Amino acid sequence: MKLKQSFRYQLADYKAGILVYYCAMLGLLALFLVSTVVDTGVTVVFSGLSGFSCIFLFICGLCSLHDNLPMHLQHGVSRRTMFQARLLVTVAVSAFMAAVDTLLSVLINLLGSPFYGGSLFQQLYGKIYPSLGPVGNVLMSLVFAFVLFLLASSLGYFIITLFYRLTKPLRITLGVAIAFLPLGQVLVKLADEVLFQNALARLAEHVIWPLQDKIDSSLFLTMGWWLIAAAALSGVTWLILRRCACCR
Amino acid sequence: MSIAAEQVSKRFGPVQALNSATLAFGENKIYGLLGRNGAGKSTLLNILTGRIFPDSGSVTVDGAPVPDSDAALSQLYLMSEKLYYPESMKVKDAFRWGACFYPQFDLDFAYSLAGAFQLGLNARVSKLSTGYSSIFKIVTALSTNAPYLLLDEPVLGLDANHRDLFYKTLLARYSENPCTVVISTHLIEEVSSLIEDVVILHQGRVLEKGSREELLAGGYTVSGPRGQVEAYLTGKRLLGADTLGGLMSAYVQGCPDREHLPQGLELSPLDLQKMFILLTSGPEENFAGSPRRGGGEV
Repeated sequence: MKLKQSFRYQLADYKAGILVYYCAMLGLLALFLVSTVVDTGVTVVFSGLSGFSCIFLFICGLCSLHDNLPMHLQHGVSRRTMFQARLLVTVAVSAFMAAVDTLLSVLINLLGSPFYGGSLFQQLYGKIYPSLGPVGNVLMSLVFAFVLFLLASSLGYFIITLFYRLTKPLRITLGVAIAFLPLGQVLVKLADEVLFQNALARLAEHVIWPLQDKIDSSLFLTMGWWLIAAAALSGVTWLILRRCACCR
Repeated sequence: MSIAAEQVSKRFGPVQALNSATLAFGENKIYGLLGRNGAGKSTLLNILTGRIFPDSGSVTVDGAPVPDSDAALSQLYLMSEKLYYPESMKVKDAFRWGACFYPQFDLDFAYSLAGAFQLGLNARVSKLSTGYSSIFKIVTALSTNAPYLLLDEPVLGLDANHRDLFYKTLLARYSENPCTVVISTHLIEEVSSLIEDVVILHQGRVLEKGSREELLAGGYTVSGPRGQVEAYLTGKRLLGADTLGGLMSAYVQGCPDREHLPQGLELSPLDLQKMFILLTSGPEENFAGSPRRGGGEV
């Protein structure tokens, strides 16, 4: 079993990217700091850092297969071990970045006026859960960001694995289909009206949208839903990956 | 203790790359995996190491199935023509990761061999020339100390000096630390003295497998004046022939009868490359330059 070695390798793959990312974030913060010296009347809101981190991890997920699969197969590591290590790396990196993001938000708040550092959790659920207190807020921000990062990373890895496995014509077809997704919505609406007498619209109105509202209004339902989605994406990713030939 | 492939078949679109190939590579031997272009050598090696999946059949290493087992895969190291390392990776980092993944990896030996080949440790593996890319892969492969070393075209792009160094190092390494080495190459003459057993693939099938000596003992060359050679060939199984002016060399299947050899004719053993050509060429190619057309009994 080469789980430890694979974990080390895949983690090392993230290190440089994460370092550059946080250097850029700190650079941005320094820039804002300078701007407050120049213009004393400005207020700097440094919020939604987790949103950027989420996009960053999604992109990292997209970049995690093309080089890693050949490298692992070259060194006698099975796809199963590589995938298990990948899951562990996702958890570790998500936890680390959630912790750093939360810490940065706290530090920015400690800088005091004119700086304000709000986490994504506080932006979305701060008003719904006002009684959590500062420590509760920090802890929930941490957990919220962690779960969100898991989902973003899993989604990125799922997409790249799917595209890696598909043949070129299927990749093009899928890409075009995604590009025409808005048109697809219109077509579904049209088909619903013509063929199903708005049955789908009624289903959405009475079941899907209320369910989504319920999930959105509850922090724990939202996080639970994200966890289920991340687990489902990882499950499907494994099914795609386990018979994935190495393309070189 | 072996790598065993059972009834392995693989098709790429219209091309049947492997067709029910069954073979085994035993312990501590040097094998030559020979075949013409498109015979299925690289496909076989990629299947043996789990890089691609066969359409049917199975592969095991010491009894463990290949694609899912780390234990099986850890026994193997395939040096392939293509580069399986990230483009931005440097040679020294590739060695470092090699040592991480293969506990028996000899880092000192890798550095020392890289020095002997004048391979720059700070060069990016993707930026190496064809020859140095082969050298990088050779150094890594020989340093892993894996029990089964599969080398696909190991001397691609190497000059004569580097090829010589490679063969010498391979033999020294093999003597010091016996392992199974499978060399897939088109340079048959060069590896002929190295290999103990031969597997010949032809059109996706295993055409011959066995010891090199046994294979070569199955034929001989008779040379001399054309008329005399043609007379000698009567009733013998002719594999192929070359003619030059009034002289003829005929390649005959079977054991020579030295006692009844007519004067003026010479007998010599077949070399591996000639045997390979005779086995894998059509009659037209085997009798090129000869007035006789078609193989078979004379």
